[in-house]
Amino acid sequence: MTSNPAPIITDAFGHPRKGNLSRNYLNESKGILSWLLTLDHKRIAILYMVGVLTSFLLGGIFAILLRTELIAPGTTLPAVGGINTTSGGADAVWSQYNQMFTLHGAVMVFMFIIPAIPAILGNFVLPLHLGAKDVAFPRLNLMSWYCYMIGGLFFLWTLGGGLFVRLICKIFGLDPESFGQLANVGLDTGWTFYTPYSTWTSSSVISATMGAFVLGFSSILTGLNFIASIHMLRRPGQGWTKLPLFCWGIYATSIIQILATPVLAITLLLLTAERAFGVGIFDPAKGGDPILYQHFFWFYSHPAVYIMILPGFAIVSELIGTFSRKHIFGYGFIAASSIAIAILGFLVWGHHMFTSGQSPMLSAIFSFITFSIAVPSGIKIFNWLATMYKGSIRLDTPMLYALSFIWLFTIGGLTGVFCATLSVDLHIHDTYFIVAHFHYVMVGSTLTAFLGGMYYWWPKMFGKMYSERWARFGCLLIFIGFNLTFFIQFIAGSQGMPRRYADYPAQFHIHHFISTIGSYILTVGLFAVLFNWIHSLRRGAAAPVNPWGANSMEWQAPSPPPTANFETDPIVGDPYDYSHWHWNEEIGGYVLEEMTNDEIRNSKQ
Amino acid sequence: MNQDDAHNPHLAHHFDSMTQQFESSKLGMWLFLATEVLMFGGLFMAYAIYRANNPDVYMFAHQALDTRLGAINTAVLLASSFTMAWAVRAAQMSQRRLIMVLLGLTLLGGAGFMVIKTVEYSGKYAHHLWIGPVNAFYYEAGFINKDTTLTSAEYYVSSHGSPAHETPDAAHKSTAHETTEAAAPSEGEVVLDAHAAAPAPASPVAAGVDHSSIQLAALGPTGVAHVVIAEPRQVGVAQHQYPKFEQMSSNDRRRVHLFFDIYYLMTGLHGLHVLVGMAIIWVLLHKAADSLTRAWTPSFALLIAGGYFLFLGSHLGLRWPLVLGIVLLLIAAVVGFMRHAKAAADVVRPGAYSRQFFDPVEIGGLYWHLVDLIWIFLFPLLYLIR
Ligand SMILES: [Cu+2]
Repeated sequence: MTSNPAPIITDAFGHPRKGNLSRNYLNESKGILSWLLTLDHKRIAILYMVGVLTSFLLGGIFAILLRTELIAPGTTLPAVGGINTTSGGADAVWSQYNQMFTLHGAVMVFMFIIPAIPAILGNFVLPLHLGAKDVAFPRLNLMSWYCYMIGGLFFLWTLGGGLFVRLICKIFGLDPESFGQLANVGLDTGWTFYTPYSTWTSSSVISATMGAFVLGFSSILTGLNFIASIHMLRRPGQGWTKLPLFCWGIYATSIIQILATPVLAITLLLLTAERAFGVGIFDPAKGGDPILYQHFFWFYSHPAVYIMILPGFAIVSELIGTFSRKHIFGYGFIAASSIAIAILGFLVWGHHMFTSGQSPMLSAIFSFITFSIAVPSGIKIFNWLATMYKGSIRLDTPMLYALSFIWLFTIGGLTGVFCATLSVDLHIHDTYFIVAHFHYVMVGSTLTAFLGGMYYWWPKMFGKMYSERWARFGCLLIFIGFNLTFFIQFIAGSQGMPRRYADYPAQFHIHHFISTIGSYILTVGLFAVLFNWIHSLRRGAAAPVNPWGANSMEWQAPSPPPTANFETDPIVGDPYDYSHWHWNEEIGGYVLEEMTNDEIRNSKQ
Repeated sequence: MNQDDAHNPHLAHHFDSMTQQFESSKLGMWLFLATEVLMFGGLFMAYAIYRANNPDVYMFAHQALDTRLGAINTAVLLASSFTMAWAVRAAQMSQRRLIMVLLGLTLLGGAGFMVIKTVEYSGKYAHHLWIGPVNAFYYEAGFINKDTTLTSAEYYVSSHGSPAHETPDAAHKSTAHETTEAAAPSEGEVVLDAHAAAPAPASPVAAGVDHSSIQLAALGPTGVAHVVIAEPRQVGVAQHQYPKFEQMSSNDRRRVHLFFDIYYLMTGLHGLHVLVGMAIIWVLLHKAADSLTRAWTPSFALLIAGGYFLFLGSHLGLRWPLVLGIVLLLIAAVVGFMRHAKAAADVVRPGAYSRQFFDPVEIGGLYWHLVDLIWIFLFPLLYLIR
């Protein structure tokens, strides 16, 4: 596929045809404004891609810095000026470390993992999956991107706004104190903003909570759009059982985004009111209840874990079927388990609070419901395995990511059962075991699924193929680097290494050393992916309409699609019936065998 | 595609029919209302938990709220919800003139609500029952050995009896305390009315200074601060069941200010929603108006804003809102006449909503009803505690 000198122009079904489709959504109109004011879901997906990947880079830089700090006991990195501490030396380094792990967590969670799959791939693919021209509310869609960018600006202010204010003060000889909280720098509360520390700390909490608040609106608007689109914009003849599983996964995600995010919004507003007006609802010194904050926070943030992982499931369900060349096994079960996870996800938040002083009875109930989430998760894994069984598996890059996902998610999911066990959790709570667990789920699984999805839909998004060899190499590096970084953390955690500590006893040196080396390999792998993409954009071979032989409707749109998505009305069929698509060497893609009108009509039912 | 729909200029390109478009936007609004309910749900939950843990606090503190004003506001919002629902009906019946009248009335209802809310808020501010530290009942434990006492709360209670309205009328429903015009204070109120004349500064630091002034005022002739636990000034029938400050547990006494925090957060967030709702209704009105009337809709908005500031200025005895109000009214007149002259020179075009297209009116109405509904819950939960 790498050498495809003169691409053959084909129609929606891969058949050669005369004439070139010169207009597509990428070159439809030119100029920066045509992008900033676009209502096209595909362009908004690209806008999101730029923002989300930039945030990923930022969060990644923090990750590398904090792993480097931890490579050896004692201080490693020098303290950079401007951090909120009066005492220099080691204290400044520790304080800087607190800021780094907080910003790493906050940026990665709110600006990368939560929007990554829904806002980029969901936006691009979902309307195509429905055979629609756009999402239900294109203006809200653009607004959600602006919310995302404004939220990002708030985070940038958290990062450096205080330094800016101090600089201005220095120039004009003003007292930074008179600017109150505007002169605060950075964030050192942890991404969870736990009270009462977040009420008292002199870092820039309000800008971060307001940032997360606005980002929440971006997430809500995206979810709202997807639910309305799936309900209202399906093609005639596309019943709920003809929806690709990607749509089911995104649908379940959107339910959570709509129902959970507003609770985070009000929680963060209350926290903002604590700092801005001196309200005391979460502050024990004023008679408030800090545990209430934790309940509120996790009522959102546990379901948010499923906002991160369900889209991963959604992508992998597409990949496993397509690359096993076999109808997905247990369609109904995979679809229903996504909804089950979304619902159950609302009932387990207390498992984050086993050590917070919650009633033992409540803890036991939360523990039990958490166990029960393993059932729908297991159902998915077994259905994927059953799909692959006796399939003719093709190990293209997206499939490698899907297999890597199954491996990593199995480890992440099963260790989650450890964490949900009351007695075990009392031992491993707030240790690296937890860190390793949620990185396996949130990074190992979601990031892997995201990259797999990007590689899968890349030809459709940009109309270009990529170097398969380099793509596989990147995938391998990421897999090795990731496991090296985080598996050792299970061991360190079970031996008692607490999370969020900037320093540690010598006995943990080897664990941290291996982990840091692993993170460097992971970084190299991620850059390999980035260069692979850039190379593809610059000189990748033209992509065929259907490079993978999948049967969902996006593969009946040109690569890249025109602004209105489809040239001819796509055929609605069973998205996992691959029997009609056959590889054609000359075209370098899959071609739909000629179907009689009767067959087309049957496939529509 | 439905042929009638194909020519409807209101049909967006990605929908096949007007029905599909209408159903989509309605579904979208319902989903958004679900998020709103969950957002307020967090506040209701905080309310419920504190009320369950400290029932006496709620029984005691809610007496500061003026049930009569709250009830009037409930009626105002209900009425505006009625005019809104009627406006939707008028749109469906293509009664174009009636839509404008009803939307205008709804907008005025929202404005009336905000005016009454302003009366309530300013009354409490004047009586040092504001949010956070600017509250007579504020309490914050210091770091080691610096336990702040409840001196200001005790002084407040000693001079007021309770945060209720002290006017001896039996139903104790007077709004004397809610308005600064209550020029003839009864004896015990002298100090607090001094506050009314010069409202306490809003910043927490300055509020601390203000506290000490209350404590100073509480110094007895010997120079020793003492807590006067006065007899409640009148014991109405209804008041019997409410706990007295001095009878409450010390934990409860320290949480009285949390009731005010919750009150301000809930009603404040609701007030913001009323403002957003008013903006939406104004846009609907603007679109619903024919081109001649539309010349005047910006002036109508300015008129409401100007009227509000005039009221604010006269209510608080401040000059700048009066000036601002007059300026806004002048702008309203100028803008109105200029736009009118322009519109009159052109042919009159009808408003946008009719039997063929009334989706925005219906969807905006849904939002307004939600705002109304939330208040229907807030009013009994905050004002009518027994
Ligand atoms: Cu959880």
